[in-house]
Amino acid sequence: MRDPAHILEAEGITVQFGGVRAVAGVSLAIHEGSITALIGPNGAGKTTFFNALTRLVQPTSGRLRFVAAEGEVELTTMPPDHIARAGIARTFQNIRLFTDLSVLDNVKVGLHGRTRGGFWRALAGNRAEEQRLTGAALEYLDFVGLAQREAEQSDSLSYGEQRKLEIARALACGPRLLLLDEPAAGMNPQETQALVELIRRIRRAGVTILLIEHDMKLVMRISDFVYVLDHGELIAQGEPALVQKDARVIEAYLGPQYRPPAGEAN
Amino acid sequence: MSGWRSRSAQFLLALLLFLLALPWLGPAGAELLPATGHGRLMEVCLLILIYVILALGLNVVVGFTGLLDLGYVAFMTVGAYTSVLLYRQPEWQFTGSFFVVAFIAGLHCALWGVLRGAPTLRLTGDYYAIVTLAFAEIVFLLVLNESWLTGGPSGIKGYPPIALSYQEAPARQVELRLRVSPDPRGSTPENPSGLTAEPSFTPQDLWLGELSPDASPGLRRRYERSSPDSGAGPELRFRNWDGQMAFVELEAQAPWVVLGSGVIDGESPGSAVQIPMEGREPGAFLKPLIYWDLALLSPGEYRAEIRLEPRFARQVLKDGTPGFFYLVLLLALITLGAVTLLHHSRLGRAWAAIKADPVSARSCGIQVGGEKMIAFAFSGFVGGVGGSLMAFKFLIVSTNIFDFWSSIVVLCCIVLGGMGNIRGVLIGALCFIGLGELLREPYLFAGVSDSTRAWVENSGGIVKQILSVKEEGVELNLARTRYLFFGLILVLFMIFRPGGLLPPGGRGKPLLPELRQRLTALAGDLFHLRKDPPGA
Amino acid sequence: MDFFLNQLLNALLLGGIYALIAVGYTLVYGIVKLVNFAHGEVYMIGAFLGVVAISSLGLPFWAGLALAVLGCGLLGLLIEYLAYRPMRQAPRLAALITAVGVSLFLQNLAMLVWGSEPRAFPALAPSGEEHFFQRAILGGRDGAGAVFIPGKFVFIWSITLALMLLLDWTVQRTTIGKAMRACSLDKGAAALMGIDVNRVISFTFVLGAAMAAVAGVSYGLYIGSQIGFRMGVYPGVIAFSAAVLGGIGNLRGAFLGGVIMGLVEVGARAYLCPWLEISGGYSVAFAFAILIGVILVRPTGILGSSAVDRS
Repeated sequence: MRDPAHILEAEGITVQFGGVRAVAGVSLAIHEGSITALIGPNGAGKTTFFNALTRLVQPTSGRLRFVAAEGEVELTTMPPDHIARAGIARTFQNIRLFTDLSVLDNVKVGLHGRTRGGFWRALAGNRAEEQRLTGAALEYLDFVGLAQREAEQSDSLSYGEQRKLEIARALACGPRLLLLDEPAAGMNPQETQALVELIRRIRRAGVTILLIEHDMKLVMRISDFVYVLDHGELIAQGEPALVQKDARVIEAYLGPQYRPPAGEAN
Repeated sequence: MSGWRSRSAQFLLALLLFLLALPWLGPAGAELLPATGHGRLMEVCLLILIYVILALGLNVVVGFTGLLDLGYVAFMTVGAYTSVLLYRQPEWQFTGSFFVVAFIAGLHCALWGVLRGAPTLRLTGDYYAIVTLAFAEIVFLLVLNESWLTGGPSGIKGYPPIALSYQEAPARQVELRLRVSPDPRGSTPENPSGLTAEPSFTPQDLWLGELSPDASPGLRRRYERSSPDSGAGPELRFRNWDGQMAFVELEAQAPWVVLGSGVIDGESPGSAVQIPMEGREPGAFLKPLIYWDLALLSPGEYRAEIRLEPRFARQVLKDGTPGFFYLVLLLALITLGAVTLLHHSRLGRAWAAIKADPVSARSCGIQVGGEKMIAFAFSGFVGGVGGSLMAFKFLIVSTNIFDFWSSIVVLCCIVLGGMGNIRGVLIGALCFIGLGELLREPYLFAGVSDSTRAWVENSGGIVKQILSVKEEGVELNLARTRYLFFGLILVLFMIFRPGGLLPPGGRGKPLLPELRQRLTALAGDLFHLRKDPPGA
Repeated sequence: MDFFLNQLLNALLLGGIYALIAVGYTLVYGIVKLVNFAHGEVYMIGAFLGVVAISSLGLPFWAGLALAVLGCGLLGLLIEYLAYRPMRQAPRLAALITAVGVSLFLQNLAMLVWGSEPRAFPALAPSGEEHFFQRAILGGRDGAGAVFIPGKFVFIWSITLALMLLLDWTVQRTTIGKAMRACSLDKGAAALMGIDVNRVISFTFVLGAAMAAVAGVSYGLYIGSQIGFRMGVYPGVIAFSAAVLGGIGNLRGAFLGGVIMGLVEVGARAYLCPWLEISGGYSVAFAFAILIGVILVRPTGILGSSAVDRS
C-alpha cells in the first residue's frame, strides 16, 4: 500500500467484455474509516467496478490491494467467497435477497463466513452455536432498524425494508469495507434520511464505506470523498463540493451543451 | 417444522403411532380396510416408507440446493447391487451385517455422487441435469452388460434375506451317484432324451440338523424339537423333474434357512450352484442345488461330491414380516431426523442461499462448490441406503426394478410436496406412491351396457390400452398410463402449484380460480383478444 | 476399406441427424436459456408421423416429410405456449422440471397411441431424386465398384445440408434472424427495440421442431427400424452434448458438434468397442464421456464465445 491510511488501493483496473471496455484503467484509493462515493451517469461502469472488486467479474488487468484483518491481500486473484471472508461485503443494485428465507435467516447467511460447522456439526444439532448466531443476527437487524421483523419472509418486506435487510446481511459478514450499490434507489425522502443515519452509524462502528449513488443530495451530505466515472474512466475526484462544480462532471451528466448558471448547486 | 404443538406435528405423531401398530393390526386391519387387505396395506406402507427415505435424500439436492437430479435411480441401483454383492458372501452374513452392508453401499454411492457432480460445480443447473441423466444411463448400460458382476438383464436373485443372527453347523460330505439308463419307453415328447436317471446318495437320508457346540440355548431348544423322526429338519432329497433334469434339492422347514454349496467331482457334466434356500411350510420344494441335463448325458454312471456347509439364519426380516417393517420405519425416522437437522443448520441455510441466489451466496462467503458437493454426497448416501432396502424387500435386483422411471417417481414425490419442504416431501411420497399403487389396481365397471362393451372391443389405440372387456363388465386399467399422468403432474404442478399440494403457511393461490384465469388468458391470446406485453 | 467407408457414411449420416436435433437445442437454449428436454420426443414424434403418413396413409415420401414437419412445428408451438411460456419468470429448476414433465408426457402419449412395440419405417422404392443422385455420383453404375455411396445417403445429406445452409442464412441475413439473435442477447432490450419477443420465441421453437422432424424422418428412411416411443431419449442427450460441444447457442457449433458426435458414436461402436472387447451398446457411453470432457475442459464449447454463467 502506498499510504498506510488506505484500506483499498485500485491500480489501473480494466474490465473488458469482448469489444467493450466497461472499466478502463481506473485507479483510486479509499481511506480507512471514510465514506467514499462513486458516481457517474448510467452505464459508466460503477457496478462493474464493484463486481471487479468482489471478483464476480475478472479484471482484465490492474491490481487491487486491500488491507484485510490478516494483512494486505491482492483481490484480483481471490475467489469471491474468500474476498467476503477477507472483509469486503456488498449490496446489489437490484436487491438480491434470499427470497425463500426468513429475514433472520438472511442475516444468518451473512454470518456464514465467520462461523464454522459443516455437515457433522449440523447433525449434532449445534444448539449453542445456533443460539449465538440468532443473537448476533438479531443485533444486526436491530442495528438497521428491522427489529421484531425476524420471522417474516424476506420477500414480504417493503422495498425500503428489503434494502435495510440486505445491508444487515452485508454487515453480518463482518466487513472492514462495505460496498453499497445504489442504496437509496427508489427511496422517499424519509427513507433516505434514515439511510443517511444508518450509514453514519455504520461508519461509527468502524466500517469503511464505498457507495455508488445517483442521489446527489445524499452524496453531498454524506461522503468524504467522491470519484466520478464516465464511460469506464475516472474523470474527476475530490471532495464533494469541488467535484459537483467540475465542468467535466457536469458535462458527463448533462451533456456538453449545458452550462450551469453561476452559483447553482447540482 | 414450527413447534411441537402444531397440527402437523400432531398429525405426524398420529401417523407414527398408526405405523407402529400396523404390523400387529392383522386380521383386524383387514376388516378396517376390506378392499385392500392387511398384507397389501402393509406392503404399500412399506413401499411408501422406502420412497420417503429416497425422496428425503433427493430433496437435499433438488429441494434444498435447487439442482435438478434426473438420475437418482443410479444411486438406487449402485446401492442395491453393492449391498447384494457384499451380502451374498457368507463372510458378510452376521448379526447386524445389513447395517454395515447398507452403510458401505451408501458410502459407495456418496462417492459417485461427488464424482458425478464435480464437473458441473461452476455451471448452471441444466448441465447438472444432463450429466445426472447421462450418468444414470451409463450405470444402466453397465448393469445390463456386465453380467459376470450383475447378472445382466435377469439380475441377481436368491440371495438370503436379512436375518438377525446366523448359526453354522458342521460341514457335511455327500456322494451322489446317478445311474443313467435308456428309458424303456424310448424317446417321448415329454422326455426327448430317451433316458432315465436313478439316483442314490450316501449317506442316506442326510440329516443336516447338527449344531455346533457353541450354539445358543434357544437355538438348541428349537432344534431339539425337530429331528429326523419328526421330519421337521432340513433334509437332502433327490427329485427328478420332467425326466429332463435331475435335481438334488435341499428341503428345509421353517424356521430354518439353510445355505449350502455343492462341488462337482468326477466326469459329470452337471453344474453346482451356491444357493441359499429358505425354510417354508412342510412339503414345499426349494430351488435346485445341483442338476444334470439328461440331454447331454449318455447311459452310464455319474457321480458327484457335494460338500454342504449349512448355515442357519434366525429371525428373518423380509417383506411381510413386522421386523422388516420396523427396520424400514426406523431408517425412515433416522433419515427424517437427519434431514431436518441439516435443514435448520448453517449448512441448510447455505444450501438455501445457493438455491435462491448463488451469486450473492458467494458474496456472503459461502463456498458454493464445496457445499454442493456435501449435498451430492449426502443425497447419494441416502439413495444407496434406499436402494439396499429395495434390494431386500424384493429379494431380486434387476434392471426392471431400477429403471429410468424410478428417478421420476422420486422426483414426483418431491414436486407434489413442494420441493424443499420436508413436511411436503412426506405428503408427496404418501400421495404419490399411494396414487401409483392405486393406479396399478384395475377398476371394474360392472353392469356396462353391451353397446359400450362392443365399442371398447372395436376401438384401438389409446382406448384399447386402458380399457378391456371382462366378463363382469369393462375394466379400467391405468397401469400403463401411469407415467403419462406423472408427466402431466410435473407440468401442472410446476405451472400452477409450485408450492406443492399443501404449501407452507398456506401460501398457495386457490387453484380453480387461477386455473380459470389462465385458461381465459390462453383463449384470449389464441384469438388475439388480449395482447401479451412483449417479453413477458 | 469397404468397412471403413461404410462406417464413415453411417457416421456422417448419424452425425447429420444429430446435427439437426442439436440445432433445435442450441437455438432454444440461446433464446430462453433452457434445455428443452422434450426436444428428443419431438424428434421421435416426427419419425412416427412419417411412418404413419407413409405406411398408414399411403402418402408419398415428400408428403410424409411435409406432414411430419408441419405436425412437429405445431407441436413445438404448443409446447412452448402451454408449458414453457408460463414458466418464463419462474426459477430455473421449476422450468427444467416442466420440461422433463413434457418429455415424459409425450413419450407415454406416443406409447399409448402407437403401442409399445417398435416399428419399422416403411421401405421405400428409391425415388426419382435418389436415382438422380446415385447416377450423378457413380456415373450411371448401380452398386458397381469399390465405392458405393447409397443414394439414400446422398439424398438425406443433401436435404440436411440444404436445411443447415438455409437456417444459417435465416439467422444471419434475415430480419427474423436478427431478431432471434437480439433476443438471445437481451430480451428486454430487444423488446424495447420493438421486437415481438413472444413471436420470436415461438418461431424459434417451431424452427427447432421442424429440424427435429426432418431428423426423425431421415432416421426412418436410412436406418429404418426401431421406431419406438423411447427412440428420442438417447439421441436427445447425445444431441444436447453435441450442442454443448459445439458451443451452446451457436448454430454452426451445433452442426459441427452433431457431426463429431456421430463420428464418435459410430467409431466407438465399430472400432473402439470391439478393440476393448466391450459391448457395442457402450458406444453411447463414449458420447457421454465427451460431454463430461467438454464440460470439464472447455464449457463454452468449440465455437462458443459467451462467458459461462457463474452460477
